[in-house]
Amino acid sequence: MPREFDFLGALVPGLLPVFLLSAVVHIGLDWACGHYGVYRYVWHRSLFRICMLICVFGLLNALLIK
Amino acid sequence: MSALTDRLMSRPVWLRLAGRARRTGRDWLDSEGPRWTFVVKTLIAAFLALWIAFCLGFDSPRSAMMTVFIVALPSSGMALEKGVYRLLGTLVGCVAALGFVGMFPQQAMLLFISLAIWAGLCTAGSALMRNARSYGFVLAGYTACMIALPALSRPLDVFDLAVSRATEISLGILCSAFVNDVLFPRHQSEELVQKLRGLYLSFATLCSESMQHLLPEAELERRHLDFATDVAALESQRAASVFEAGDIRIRSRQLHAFSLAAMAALTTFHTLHQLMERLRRAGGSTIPQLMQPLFNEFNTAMLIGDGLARTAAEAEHTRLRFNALFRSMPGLIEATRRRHAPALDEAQMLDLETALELLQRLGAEFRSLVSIYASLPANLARIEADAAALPPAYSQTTPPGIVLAAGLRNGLALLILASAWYALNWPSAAGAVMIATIFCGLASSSPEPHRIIHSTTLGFTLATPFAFFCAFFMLNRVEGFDMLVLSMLPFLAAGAYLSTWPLYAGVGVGFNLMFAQMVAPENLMRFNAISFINDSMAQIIGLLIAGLMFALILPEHRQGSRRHIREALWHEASLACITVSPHLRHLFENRIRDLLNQLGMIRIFDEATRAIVNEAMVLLELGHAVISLRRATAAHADTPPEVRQGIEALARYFRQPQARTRQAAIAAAGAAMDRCQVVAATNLLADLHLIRTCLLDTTFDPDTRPKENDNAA
Repeated sequence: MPREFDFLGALVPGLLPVFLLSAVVHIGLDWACGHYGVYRYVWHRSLFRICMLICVFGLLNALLIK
Repeated sequence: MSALTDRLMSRPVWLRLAGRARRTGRDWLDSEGPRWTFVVKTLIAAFLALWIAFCLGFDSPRSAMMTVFIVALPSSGMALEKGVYRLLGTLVGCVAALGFVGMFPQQAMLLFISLAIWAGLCTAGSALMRNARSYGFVLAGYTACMIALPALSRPLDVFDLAVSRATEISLGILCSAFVNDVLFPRHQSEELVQKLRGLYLSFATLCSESMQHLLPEAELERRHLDFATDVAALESQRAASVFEAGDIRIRSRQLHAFSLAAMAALTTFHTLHQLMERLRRAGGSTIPQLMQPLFNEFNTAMLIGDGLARTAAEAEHTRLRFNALFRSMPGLIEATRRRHAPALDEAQMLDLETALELLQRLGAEFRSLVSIYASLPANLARIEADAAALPPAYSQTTPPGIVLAAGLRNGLALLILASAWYALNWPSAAGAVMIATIFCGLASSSPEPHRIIHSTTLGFTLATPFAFFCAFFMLNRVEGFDMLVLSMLPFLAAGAYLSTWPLYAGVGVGFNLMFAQMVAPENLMRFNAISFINDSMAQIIGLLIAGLMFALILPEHRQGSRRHIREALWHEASLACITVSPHLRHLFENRIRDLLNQLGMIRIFDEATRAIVNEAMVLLELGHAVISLRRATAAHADTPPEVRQGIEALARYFRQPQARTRQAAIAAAGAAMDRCQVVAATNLLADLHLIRTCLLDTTFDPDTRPKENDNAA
């Protein structure tokens, strides 16, 4: 993924699609954590959740952005 | 003096003072703590958004700040929910604006008409839903106007306008979500648990009081309205909790099942209660006395010690007792029947059979309610087992007349005002158009649009002099972001604190919005007193015009309008006679409760409201009897044709509630009963008897009821 790309004539930062992708992955992870009761063992559920989002976003950035 | 007093007296003064201070402090924390937490978190989120917007060099940083004030709500779940729908609405609105400007660049009238249609459609969607989603609809409508109207003179800028608007809103939402959910979490799911317990407790209390004859007369209608409000509140809290980290979202199905079970049990209870009341009113019937021992059994099974189950753990005990009751019930019923049958004539026997049938249904429904309640905190592995029975979700729908009126009002308002703006040549008038459109949309999902507009106008008007003072006497002397925060903080803190009082919430939110809008903090501040005065006047005039629109265009068609709700009730009852759906019973129940909830929104409990609630409850009884009859006739192909004719006659009566159709329905039900007795189809008799008694009940007569005065609402 380049740093910026041309989307229908508008320059879009490459981070935006990566962020959207990580949001989708995060929604799936969040659902799974709720379903398998992970949140029961977590002290601060919201903090845990946002940290998860940051980890996913960072990981995808490291993997996808050139 | 005793030793204790001596010791107390000998305590140093500072220790006693410290104790008193601690008590005072705790009192203050309990009452004022949540309010100030709200103020602190709102302001942190607002200035965080403003700071990031300054750093990134946004065109109008105030939009990010205003977004924070708009989505500031007490609980994390509610703030996240509103934020998500605000974001979605903004994105949809931006895309729509790009489309409209692309289609009609510099064609004022065509653009206005298309925007009016779009805003009207969005507002109609919002009036239809009446939940957090309706906010997203309103936003999609007015965002399109906010972007397309300024783009009229410079169409090439429309893309930049849309992108900056979407970016600013997203920034505000992200900041607000972060602060509300991570720094100051206040979980909606905990309040949800309280609401759930309250719902069970109020229903069980109602049953218990009725069975012991402790229920005051005229109290029943109010309880039904409260119950409908509680069910709707439970649903809205569930919808908000879904956005929080936790397991509410996988328990949604259980919660739906719980409210459906509670509604079904309440209806059966009401039918039984009304049957007993009618027999008592008629006098001379011994059936209520005969049933009393069974009622006592039921009542004892509900009690734990001398109270009702307050938590899910206690409900587990109730569940076990109801399982026991369920096993002994057939024996008790058979014994009652055998003992009293010889002394009763045919009509009384019919009453007894109907009452016994209803009691059995109530027992089964109460048992399933208690089982769902008891299984709520259980491990999720148990839920998967009964996931097959998928209950329909509680859905809110407003009667079509009100929805259409809301859409029409907003579309017309936009069209008239935008044309006036075009002809008027007052540059600030665009602000008035925008504000009027926004509030026509926002207030249309409320039963009291005038109250909303009135309190926001008050907030706007109050904020104007303070904003003037802050902008022209403070901000022009200071330098740097920290000084900007210090100058704006006291005003915004006052506004945020005001919005924590339910009575002044609108004033507080209006104050902060207007303040941020007029002070307009930007990287390069512009101090222009003339445009300040023009813009602030335009904002207030816009609000007044929105109020005028509500008064002028279809003022009677508002949320909670009793005439519309009454028509919708009869329409739903007629649908219950013809619709084919596996969940018809739950759908019908949902619809009637939702309409009752809308009736409860107007918070006027007078004779007219009571009469409509009474009518709704009789229609609910009739509808359920018809649905149960239809289910029985669908299962047996050899049902006598008179039963089907009876259902048709009833459907005709629901479509045209008149004395003539009513007599026809009574006669058809009677004929069907005679026929059923001949062919010994006893399973249908109880339902037919219920229909006939409901129709014969003289307190339920829509013709003789005095016309209600809708202006009172």
